[in-house]
Amino acid sequence: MAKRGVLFLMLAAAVLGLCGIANAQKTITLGVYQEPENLNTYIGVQTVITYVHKPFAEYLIDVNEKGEYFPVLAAEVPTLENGGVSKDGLTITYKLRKGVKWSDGAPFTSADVKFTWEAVVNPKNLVKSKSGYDLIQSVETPDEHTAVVRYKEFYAPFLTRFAPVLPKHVLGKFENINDAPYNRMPVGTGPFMVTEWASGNYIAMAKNPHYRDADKVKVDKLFFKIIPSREVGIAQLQAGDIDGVWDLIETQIPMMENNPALALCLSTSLTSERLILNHSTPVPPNNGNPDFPHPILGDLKVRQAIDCAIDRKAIVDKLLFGKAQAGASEIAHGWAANRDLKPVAYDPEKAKKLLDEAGWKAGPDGIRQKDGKKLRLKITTTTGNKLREMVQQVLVDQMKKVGIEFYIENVPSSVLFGSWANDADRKKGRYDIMMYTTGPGIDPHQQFEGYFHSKNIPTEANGGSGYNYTRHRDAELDKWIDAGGKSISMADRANAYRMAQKRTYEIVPHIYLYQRLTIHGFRSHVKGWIPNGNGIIDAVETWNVADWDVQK
Amino acid sequence: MKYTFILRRLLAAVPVLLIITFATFFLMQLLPGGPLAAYENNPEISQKDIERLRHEMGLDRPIPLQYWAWLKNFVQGDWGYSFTTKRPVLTEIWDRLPNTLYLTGISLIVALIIAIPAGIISATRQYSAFDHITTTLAYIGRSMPVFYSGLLLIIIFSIWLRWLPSGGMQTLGTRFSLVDSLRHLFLPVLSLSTLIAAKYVRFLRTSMLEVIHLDYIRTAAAKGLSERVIIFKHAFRNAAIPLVTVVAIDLPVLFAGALFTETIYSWPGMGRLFVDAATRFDYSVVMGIVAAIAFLVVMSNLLADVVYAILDPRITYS
Repeated sequence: MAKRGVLFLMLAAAVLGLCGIANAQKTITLGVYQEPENLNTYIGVQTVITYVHKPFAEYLIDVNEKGEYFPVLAAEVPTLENGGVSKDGLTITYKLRKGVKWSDGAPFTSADVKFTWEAVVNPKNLVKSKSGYDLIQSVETPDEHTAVVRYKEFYAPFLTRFAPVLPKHVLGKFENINDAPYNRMPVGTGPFMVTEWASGNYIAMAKNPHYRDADKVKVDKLFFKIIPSREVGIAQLQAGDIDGVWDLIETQIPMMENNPALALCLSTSLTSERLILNHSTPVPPNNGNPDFPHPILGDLKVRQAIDCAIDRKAIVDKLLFGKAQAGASEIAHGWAANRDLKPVAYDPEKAKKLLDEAGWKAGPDGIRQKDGKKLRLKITTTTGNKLREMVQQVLVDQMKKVGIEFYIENVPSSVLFGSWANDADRKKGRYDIMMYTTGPGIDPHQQFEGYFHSKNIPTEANGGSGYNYTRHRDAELDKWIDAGGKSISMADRANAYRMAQKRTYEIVPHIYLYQRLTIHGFRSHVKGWIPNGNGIIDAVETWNVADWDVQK
Repeated sequence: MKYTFILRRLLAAVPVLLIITFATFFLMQLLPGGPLAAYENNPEISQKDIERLRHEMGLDRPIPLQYWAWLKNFVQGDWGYSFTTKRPVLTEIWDRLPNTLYLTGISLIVALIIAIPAGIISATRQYSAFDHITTTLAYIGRSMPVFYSGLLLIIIFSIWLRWLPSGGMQTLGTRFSLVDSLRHLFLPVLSLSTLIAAKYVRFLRTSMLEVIHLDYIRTAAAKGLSERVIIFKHAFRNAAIPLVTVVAIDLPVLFAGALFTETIYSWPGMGRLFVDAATRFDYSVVMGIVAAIAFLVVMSNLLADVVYAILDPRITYS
């Protein structure tokens, strides 16, 4: 009898042991080819930071996969209708979610919202951008769950501020937050919390026991493994050493596609690969001065001809495996997108006609000429990017068909994107056509104003600030951009940006080639991720990590 | 006599180190970009913000002044802060150094264990099958870059056979275990030690061949000494002297890390820290590592000279 009891106990122990294995902790390891410089998005500048900080850091307002704002730490999105936004747009009242705790157990209150503003504007802090925060007059905290933000002047993208909220009880005691322990060992309100950071190796996170929906979080541990490159990441994903790999590029799609153990998470981002056409002369001493138009590109008909001589479908199908979306205008999706604008149709005959009208007649070598000058343009992009170099080759061929000669002269990205002080060609307007990627955030205002408003042409007088590298000046475009920045109602703003997009479509400062894809690889046992091409700071696929699961 | 030699060499090292750090600092400034280059293409960050950060980080000062400030602090033991992580440079280095020493140290030991017997046998059985195989392998090992052989090993052992992990130092989410650690160590050590061993085998073989044709070896053989005694007591000990200096000169590599091996196998070591810092224009981290490695190179060369003099009484320095 006693023996049987022992046997039974042993069996029970064995069964329990097996159950223990079956209930083993769920772990997801994600490979990232950049090591975050720190995890404080107010200080750090790398794109990987938003991807890694999403599991622990929360914003007042965030954006879902449809491009709609939704409240996170706020209880609702403030609007004119619900009284969250005052009639003059200067006072924003955030009602905060109740019962939220930081991962160390301290309560989240309106004092944290106020502290976030104070930290950003504190001159001792090496904050990368104070945009918007420097327009705030005061943040009032009538009670623990209400924060009233008063702006000195209307700041249209106000919903994108306070992303994320910083913990006052952790950071408030430091004179500056530049090297505070928080930056590597942050305290957040999200579903996970950072438990360890082994430099150059990995960042470990565990389920946050104080998270408001902790019992709904299925994954126990999250690792961000630092890998040297995307290629190594793909190899480790194929070998099963990691469960996901961050931020792949379009040319890597075929390496992943036909493997049933892997899944691709593709989302169309808000950024697009484009041609930026210089409207002013590239020749010194008047380079970059809009009063001296570009001898070729200054003519709208030539810009339109280039636009419809590009076969976007061929580029997407041949070089991007049919996965990307052809580019149409600045805002591809989200609340401010103009969905009536379609990618310019490929029409070489129309291009030829436009060039004829502009006075560019076919020359003996097939290249058009006018007054003895050839229709010859330099196209510049960053060196070392194979996809861009292939796109350039295709463009050269497509232009040749209508009698335009493109010649390629590429430079390293640090040269192309250099500053005014470094005498960079982009800032000084010494180029014909540049090709690179940029795009708006979910609130397009900064991008639209920076790239398209005539007041943002870089000049000596403004210290080279602004991104209007094409140096176009268009009163109607300026009017709509200003309306987008000044209207308080979201509907009016959306309409203003739609009109602004329509105007850029007509005057062609930029030619949109294709929308960039955000590409992440996963092993197929990782479930629950939802591609999201929108984001307050960047589009990040870890936005709904609380819903992820592992099912082997 | 010897002490004055060492002292003179140490004094000579001061200008060498000054020139190396000075040149590195200025060459870095010549490159387009800088610690703030990443901010330039971000519409969220205004030109005003960039100018403010440039001033706050001290990057708006003249370059000689920046170098002087760095040098003054460095000499006093203050290595400065990383421009990107805002952590002390020494912390950054201490975080990586043990990982690198673990990999390079074991690789060096493995390489010596393979290279010494292989080199000796290869020389004493010149033109035998073993010699041919060894020299061929050494030739391949020496000429095949790690970024090729490493990928090949990963494809075979990690992706096809699934025997070994493809990178990293440990299985994440598990407690440290020796077996796990050795499994992760296997491929990187294989790659790195092949490279080192190949060099030493060729070196030792040549050096042995030179020695065993000398008169005193023939004399020893004529005295009727056994082959073992001749090879180990008379030939190897003399042939090993140049090898010792080669190993001594290689020692700084132990600290600098093996860039390609660390990159291919995601090893969080010094080599990757250096490359990351260089690509991010993290001047203070680059300067810290360059100065430390330059110092170690100078020291290991000195060590090689001193050891040579101890091992070989014919050599004296004055």
